[in-house]
Amino acid sequence: MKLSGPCSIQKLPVSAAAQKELLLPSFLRRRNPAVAQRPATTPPPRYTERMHKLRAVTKGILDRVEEQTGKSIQFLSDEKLSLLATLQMARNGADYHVLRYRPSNESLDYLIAFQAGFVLRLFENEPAKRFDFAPEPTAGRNVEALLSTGQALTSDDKKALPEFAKFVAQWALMNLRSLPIGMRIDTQIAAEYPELRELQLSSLALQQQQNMDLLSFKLGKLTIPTPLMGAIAAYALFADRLAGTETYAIPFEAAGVLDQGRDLLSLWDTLPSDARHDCGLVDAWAAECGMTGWFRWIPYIP
Amino acid sequence: MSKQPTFFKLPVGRFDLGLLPADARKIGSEEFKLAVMAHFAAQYSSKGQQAVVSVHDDEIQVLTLPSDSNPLEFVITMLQSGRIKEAVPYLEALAKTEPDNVQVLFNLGIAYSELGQYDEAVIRLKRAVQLDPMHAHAWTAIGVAYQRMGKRELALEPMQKAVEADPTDGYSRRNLGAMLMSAGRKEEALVQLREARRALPHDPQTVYGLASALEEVGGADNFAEADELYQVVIQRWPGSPVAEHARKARTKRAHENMRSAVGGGLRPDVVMYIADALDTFAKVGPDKTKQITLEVAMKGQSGLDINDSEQKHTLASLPGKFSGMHLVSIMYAGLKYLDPNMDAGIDLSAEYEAAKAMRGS
Repeated sequence: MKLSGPCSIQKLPVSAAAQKELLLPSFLRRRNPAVAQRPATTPPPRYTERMHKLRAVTKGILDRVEEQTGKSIQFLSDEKLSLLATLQMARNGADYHVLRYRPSNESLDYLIAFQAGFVLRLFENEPAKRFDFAPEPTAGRNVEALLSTGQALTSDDKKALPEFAKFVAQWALMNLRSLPIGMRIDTQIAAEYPELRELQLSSLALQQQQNMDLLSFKLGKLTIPTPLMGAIAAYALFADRLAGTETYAIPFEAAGVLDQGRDLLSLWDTLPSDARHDCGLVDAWAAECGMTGWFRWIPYIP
Repeated sequence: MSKQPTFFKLPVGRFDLGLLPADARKIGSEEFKLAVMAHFAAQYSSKGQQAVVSVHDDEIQVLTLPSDSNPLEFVITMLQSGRIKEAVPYLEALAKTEPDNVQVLFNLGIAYSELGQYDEAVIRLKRAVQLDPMHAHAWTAIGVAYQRMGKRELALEPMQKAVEADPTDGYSRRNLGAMLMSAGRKEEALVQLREARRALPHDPQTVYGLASALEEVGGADNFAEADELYQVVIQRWPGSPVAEHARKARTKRAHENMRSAVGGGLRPDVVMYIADALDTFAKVGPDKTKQITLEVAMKGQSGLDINDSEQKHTLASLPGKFSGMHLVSIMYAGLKYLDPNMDAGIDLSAEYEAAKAMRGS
């Protein structure tokens, strides 16, 4: 009879009893550029290893950003980034823009092109016509009013209301700032950079899935107010148009917000698509969604 | 057309009732549920997709897939990746659209069983065997559900039906064997477990199960056969949890043999081995002690015969020739020297205490 010594110091976490048990048969985000409030303080390295892997077309877009803005782009790999990628524009005298990205992001070339699109469109305007989007601190109270009208809230809901409303206001303002202009950028990317199409569609699908998740987002009785769903419904219609699908909009139709989306998309189709009308486009969408006065435009200071 | 499956949930209160026929707009009614399912089915099928819809009291869940894909396969992938709770609503939706689909019923039964909802499991599984009496795995799953419910008296019959349905199925045999063992019908159990091993020669749990049963039945021949099977498990699946159990079983058996050789008392040779080892450790210090102990432990991986004093081993970290029992004694002393609370896998505590007393420590 042989004795086996312990195979290691640790004990395996499987109990002998478990082995004797009967066994069942087996079963068979892309978003807008972050609104930079302060410049980065420490210059990161110019190129990381990941950046060398960018496609030539993406490097070309980044070169255009550097050329138009007169400032270079620094890249930061950030595993903790909540969005897929962000581009913090150089301002207040900073020497460079900062592009943060999640290192595991497979659609990085497209996302960089998309983020760069916001910078390029801003700089297509003459300096006096370049504006930053500044949310008003009162936006949360507007959402509170929407949430507390027409439904009886429990005391827990009432307690959670201010924070929930603040969160929804930030989300709705981010959509307002990013979706209509982002749709212009997407149209440009689709037309000018066919080599990015596959990545674009993949990122679009991911974004649509994330937006569908918001249809059921709730805290107690608190859900995102229907009037604020219009922007993502318009984006779903746009995604169907761009991808040649007809299914992204179905959940929004079921949720009763597709007509609102159609109205917003109709505005988007009607207004001129050049960068000079970007602020006007956002203002038009805001008016349609009842969000006029929730933000203001402030001069962009490089 | 999107090839990716999508999934979304919609609170029932958000659904646009204007999309439904007038007589189906009462939320929660059966008409409402059917109309919602029909709505999504029609919407997606007209776009070349299919929708698996489940309507609950508070929420509508929709999974969409390309029309050429099999929803059940998708759901089985969810089940296999452990997303059981998430998969159940889809299986329920599939069961509503295909109430006589045995595969759907079987997987739903397994899912409920895994979730501990045994009554729900048995209902689906019984329906599955009613439709397909030769579905051995469904019969087995009924038995397992009853056993997990604590209704052992009801578990045996479906296990037997499973073997009748497919006598070549090793899993059914293995489960029946385990059930017979726990019912005290050990000889019958051995028959089933031997058949299971014949059907599943490459399944470590089956080999281990037979070995374990042989040991439980007892007798010199059975002990010898059990030990051979434990060695098969250790050699063929060395890193598996089952191999670890086999090692422990062999250690326990060897320990019992060792003790029985001295009538259950102290082994003086072991006391001396440990005392010598403690002297050595005191001289060489903790680092060297760790090195020696680990080297012995590594040798132990492939098995050391503690009841064969003729076979000798050497160590790179310590001069001399050692029997298996000597090495195990050194390892035991080393482990206790480094950490008194460490489990050495064999109980030589009496000899260890005697050795320490001898050395006055």
